[in-house]
Amino acid sequence: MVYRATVRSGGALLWFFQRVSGIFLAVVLFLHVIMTHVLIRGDLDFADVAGRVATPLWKTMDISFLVIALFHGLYGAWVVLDDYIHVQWLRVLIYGVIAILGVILVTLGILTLISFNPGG
Amino acid sequence: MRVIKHYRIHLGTFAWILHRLSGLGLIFYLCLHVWVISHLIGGEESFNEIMEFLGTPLFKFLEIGLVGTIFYHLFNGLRITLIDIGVFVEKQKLLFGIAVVLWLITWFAVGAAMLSRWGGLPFM
Repeated sequence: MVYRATVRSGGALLWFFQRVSGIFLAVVLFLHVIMTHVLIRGDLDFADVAGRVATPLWKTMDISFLVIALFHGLYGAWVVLDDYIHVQWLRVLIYGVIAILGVILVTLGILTLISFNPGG
Repeated sequence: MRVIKHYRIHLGTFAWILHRLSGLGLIFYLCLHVWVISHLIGGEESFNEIMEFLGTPLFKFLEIGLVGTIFYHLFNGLRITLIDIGVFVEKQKLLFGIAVVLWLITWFAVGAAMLSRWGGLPFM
């Protein structure tokens, strides 16, 4: 059987973006963990999250965080699976599932983040 | 000399395998995380209900593991990026050592803060 790459792991540009997004995520995720696990008192509840997400700065920050993290993670998962799965139809299927998952989760995440407004 | 060479290859491969496994674990978590946080759309009751479910000891235990997975992937990822840029290429074993130390320190510190917030540490 001749091996034909119907879907590829990506090119140099994606490899570069994985590094750039990685540096961004290292900083933002570090702060995210500190904020949600170290700086808060008691258990995390609705009021804690709603109050933070309502401000425009946090909303912008969280949407960037969401999109970049999902891209970094889903693309990373594809790079890993690409190395081990060589059955054509399965490659196309997994590639499709990852792409659809990306669209659904970005949409769901943005809908969550824009549902909060200052004072309400 | 042969032994050291063999060991060096082993260490890098080990770090690489762990990077892939931790990455797969993290994207699996992130998918669930986005879904859990989307309960905010359903209002206070819906969100607090799922947070209460996730507040059980099993999930708290898993959360400590999550923090460890995040910090491994974070510090090893920075190490990979430095090597890709072309700095410290000749000192990558030292660089891995530094990444491991930072990983363990942050995991321990954040883990201790979480346990203390949950009332699990009598001395904090």
